[in-house]
Amino acid sequence: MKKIREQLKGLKNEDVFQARPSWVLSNKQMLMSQISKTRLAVSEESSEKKLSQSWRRFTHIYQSFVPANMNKVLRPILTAVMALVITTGGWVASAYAEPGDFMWSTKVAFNTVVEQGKLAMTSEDKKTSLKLDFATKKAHMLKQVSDSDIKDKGVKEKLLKQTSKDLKEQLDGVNDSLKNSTAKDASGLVKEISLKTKEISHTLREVSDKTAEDNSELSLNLAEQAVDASKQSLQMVEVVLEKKVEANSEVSEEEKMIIKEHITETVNEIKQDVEKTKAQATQIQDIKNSGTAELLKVIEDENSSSTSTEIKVVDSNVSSSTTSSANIDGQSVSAETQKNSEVTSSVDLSNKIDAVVKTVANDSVIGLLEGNMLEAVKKTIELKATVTDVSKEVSDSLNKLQTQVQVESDKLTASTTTKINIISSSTIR
Amino acid sequence: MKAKYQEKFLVHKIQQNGDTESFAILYDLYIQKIYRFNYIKLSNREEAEDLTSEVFLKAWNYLIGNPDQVIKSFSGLIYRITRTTLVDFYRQNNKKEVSIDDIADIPSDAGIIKKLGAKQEAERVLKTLKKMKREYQEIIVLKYIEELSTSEIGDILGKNITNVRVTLHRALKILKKLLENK
Repeated sequence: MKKIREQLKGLKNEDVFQARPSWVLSNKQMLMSQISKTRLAVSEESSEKKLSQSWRRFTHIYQSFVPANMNKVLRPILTAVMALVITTGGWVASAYAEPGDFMWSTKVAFNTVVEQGKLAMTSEDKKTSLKLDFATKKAHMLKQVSDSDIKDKGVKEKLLKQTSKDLKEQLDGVNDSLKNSTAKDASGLVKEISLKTKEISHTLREVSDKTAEDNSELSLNLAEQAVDASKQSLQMVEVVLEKKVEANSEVSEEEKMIIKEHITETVNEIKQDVEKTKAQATQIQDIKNSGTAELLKVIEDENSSSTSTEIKVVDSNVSSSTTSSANIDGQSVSAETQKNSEVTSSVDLSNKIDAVVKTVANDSVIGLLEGNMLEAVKKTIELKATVTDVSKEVSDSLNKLQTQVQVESDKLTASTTTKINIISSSTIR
Repeated sequence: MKAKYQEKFLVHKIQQNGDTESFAILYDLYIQKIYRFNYIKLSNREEAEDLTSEVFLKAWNYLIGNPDQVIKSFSGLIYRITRTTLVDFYRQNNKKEVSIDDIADIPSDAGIIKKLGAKQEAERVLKTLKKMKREYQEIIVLKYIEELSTSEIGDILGKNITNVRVTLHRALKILKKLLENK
């Protein structure tokens, strides 16, 4: 058999089986001239479809050069590599994104995914601390958005709203996690919680102040959120202290110092809020005492009795021009006026303010700091809640009053103009 | 392996760009092989030359006419074209495949074989090969004269590797038997 194979191989080299070199050359020339005509047609066609052919060419190269048996193995690898390239590329591009950039939302989404991943891989005892870190990062992002130079105000406000909403959710998450954690796990978090939540609250106040000029409503929301964060911060400290008691763990000197500082700062904030509320209360009183109140009274009188077209000249501090009131066709100028008396006659409000001022003035909380730390925290929370409620009530009353005065003033001006026109036309006749 | 990828690259260039230079390289690589294959079948120089020329033209037309077709190997393609061209040739000319007696009747080529002198044995093998079934002839030529791999032969003949091995084994056995009987 071997001999036969060798004989067969030997046949290959016999001259008789070799093509004549002259024929090989001439045939090549002839063939080349024949095929060059078809080549032209091919190149013209391909130039027309260049773009659509790119993908086809890629798949053709892949299929031609990758053996079929390797295809099964290579496909998932290539898919994984491509996914990795896309993800890494996206991450790298988004990591340096600034607020307002195209990749900013990717950065936020990517951060969320990373956070979820980290949380999934973290043991229960460290979750509260990790969530606190995330909340602090979110507060930094909020500051970043606020400091950014996004020209489109709408976009900036939208980003601020979204980030502050995310921050609120993060803080709620910390709170829940803390409540559910064991006494042993939570007792070591005093320092971290106190410092980080304070920082978050400060950031929110800062952003609120910065936004006040562009969007007062958003600024107000952020300020409210800052107050909530501050309250939450103390509540978390309270939970930690309670857990410490539960775990029979002593409050260290360092922790005591941090809590004292925290409470002192909160009391100072409360004092500032009280001052602000007092100022707002005075403003309400001023409005009540001013000619605006007379104006409102006139409107009320007219609403109840008059159907006449007589012009009443009223002395008013609101407008320097002569302000007139009218009730055309017996219709009420404003139903809102009715509510005015409810706002301005709020005696309870001033009583509440007085009570708060007295409580804050006697520094009862600060006195407790040396003795019972937990009691001091509880008292501060209580005080903070009371002041916040009263401040909100006063602030709402002032806003309502100012809005009403503005609305009524505008309506009076409009109706006066109408009346003057009627009188002028009848005089001319 | 390197040569195989070079061939694939040349084929790709022809399919996508109609590159004649690449085709010229493939022509130089395969002209002797295809001529030899045809000559063994036809035992006539002119006919073998004409058919070889036709095979290359068909290969070019096939490549540029099927730019999306994935060509596993150019050798597989060109031998397949050669086989079908030979079948067409026999059909058109009402010819039977050359028998051992036909070879002896061809004066010019018979003379050349006789000139081999010391290679009488090779001549005897070739003549015996011609007596065999077309399938066996082809598989022996492709394996031992053209020295193609089993998978390439499978690709040309449209058989799987196991079938090629079995057929090759049978063909060799028959050839041996025929040679012993002579």
